[in-house]
Amino acid sequence: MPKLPGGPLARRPLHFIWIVDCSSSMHGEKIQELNTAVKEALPYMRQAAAENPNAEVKVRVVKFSTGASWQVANPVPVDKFLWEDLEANGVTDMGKALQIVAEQLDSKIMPQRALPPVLVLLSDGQPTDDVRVGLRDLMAQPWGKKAVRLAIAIGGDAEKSVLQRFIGHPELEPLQANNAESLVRFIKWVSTAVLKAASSPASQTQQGDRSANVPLPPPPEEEDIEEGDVW
Amino acid sequence: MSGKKGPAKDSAKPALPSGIVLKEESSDQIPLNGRVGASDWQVLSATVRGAAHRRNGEPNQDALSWWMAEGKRPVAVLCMADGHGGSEYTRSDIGALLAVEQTQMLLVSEILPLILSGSTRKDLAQFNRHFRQQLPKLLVNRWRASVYEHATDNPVQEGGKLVQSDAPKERLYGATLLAALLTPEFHLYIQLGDGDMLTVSSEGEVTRPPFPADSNLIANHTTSLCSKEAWRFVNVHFQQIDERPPSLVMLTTDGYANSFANDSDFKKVARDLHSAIKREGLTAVANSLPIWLEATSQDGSGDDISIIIATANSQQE
Repeated sequence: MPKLPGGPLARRPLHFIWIVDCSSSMHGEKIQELNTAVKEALPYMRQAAAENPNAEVKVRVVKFSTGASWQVANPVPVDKFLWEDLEANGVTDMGKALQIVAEQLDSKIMPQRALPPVLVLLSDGQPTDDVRVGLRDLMAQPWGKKAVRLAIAIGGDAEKSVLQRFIGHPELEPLQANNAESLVRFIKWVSTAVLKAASSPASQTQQGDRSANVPLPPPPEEEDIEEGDVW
Repeated sequence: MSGKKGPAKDSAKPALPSGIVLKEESSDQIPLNGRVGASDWQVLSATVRGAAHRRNGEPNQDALSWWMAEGKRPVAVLCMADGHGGSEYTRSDIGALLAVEQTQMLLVSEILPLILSGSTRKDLAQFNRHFRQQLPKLLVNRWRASVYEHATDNPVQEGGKLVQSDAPKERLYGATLLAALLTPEFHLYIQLGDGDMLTVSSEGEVTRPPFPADSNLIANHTTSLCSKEAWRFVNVHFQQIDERPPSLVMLTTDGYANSFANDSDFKKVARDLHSAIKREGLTAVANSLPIWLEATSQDGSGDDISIIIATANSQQE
């Protein structure tokens, strides 16, 4: 009998995109801790991806400050992905960042058989551009609407209402990272538990605007914080 | 004319109609639309538990069934459903089974006699309208009734206590649906949610029923029998078969198409199976199907994969 019917088999792509605030308020400890946290989480992320050989995890990075640009433009397989340290300087053009992510989630670009993309937005401040335009463009894309969208608020000055609108789900709140330890925990959680959930989701019914994200495990809880540790 | 039925996902199948008896003279009343030959349908099917489902200890949530009658007016009815799985849809494997059971009963016992009665040909447009308007509601209502009956007989319990929930009962049973009814003169195709129906011509050309594309059916999101006003999402296509009937009709759950990078690579499945059946014969392909599906799930989507193939075995009269 012949080989398997059909063309070459393919794992389902899962696009994981970090969207990182690199404005001047992130300068110093915050951006350093963020760089360290993602790098330390990478081996766990690779391990989580390896546990589902039917998903092909590909990672990209968008940075935003004065304007927004792709730090890693081409999707890199997670086992080859390396984090390049980001630097912080400028204002907080979050809307622009969401716009360039939306462009890449266009149905003409995204593979039809892909798994829900994972978008992780990290920010410590208030957007300085019109973030509504970015959110509108993102949610206008079917892949943007179906993405697993999570946000980490870094420190107490982050504009959580904007992050909540980005998440767009009443039962999911921004993760509040008030110090380096909690940032590490949340970054590790999105790199592993969220990645695993998104890489083997059960089917979800389509119910108009009520459609939920992929069911996620509970995030790590905020631990007691020493007063001196708070950002 | 006697009916044959095909097994579904396992031997514990619900009772399905064992076939309908058609008066032999009925085939003489309606000519075969100018064709000199009729086609006996030969049907084969397979379903495998997905590689990811095995890793996670989840069951196969697909279900399938088929029925066919041989003779001068050979007919076949193919039904397939894909339970959603996941924590919200804990009975979706049962929902899938009820979907194929109810759909097959409706198509074989009620719709097929209507199509074969002869009046279909007289007013094709009216039948088309009738099927598009009535079938979606009939299918969804029958499925819901069977789900409520099952839920009543088998209330949800946790730790020996009944679970009270405000959530609609049918949500636990959520599933998609594919069905095809094939007669020498007409084909009826029905789809709710994801999954694929492909036909292959004798020249190897692969096509789909002309259902509208839904850009929201991505990223494992699907319309479902448990959706609110689910009947709105049911696509129905009723077509007259003229000079070139399909040589092969194939129904698959989405785990198959999701194992390929693009639609072209997936469509090649139908072409390859068509060629393999011609070259190696039905039995050889039937024996290989479970092995192929296992390997495809393993190195592809990881999802359950189910397939029903009906091939036309042309007979000159």
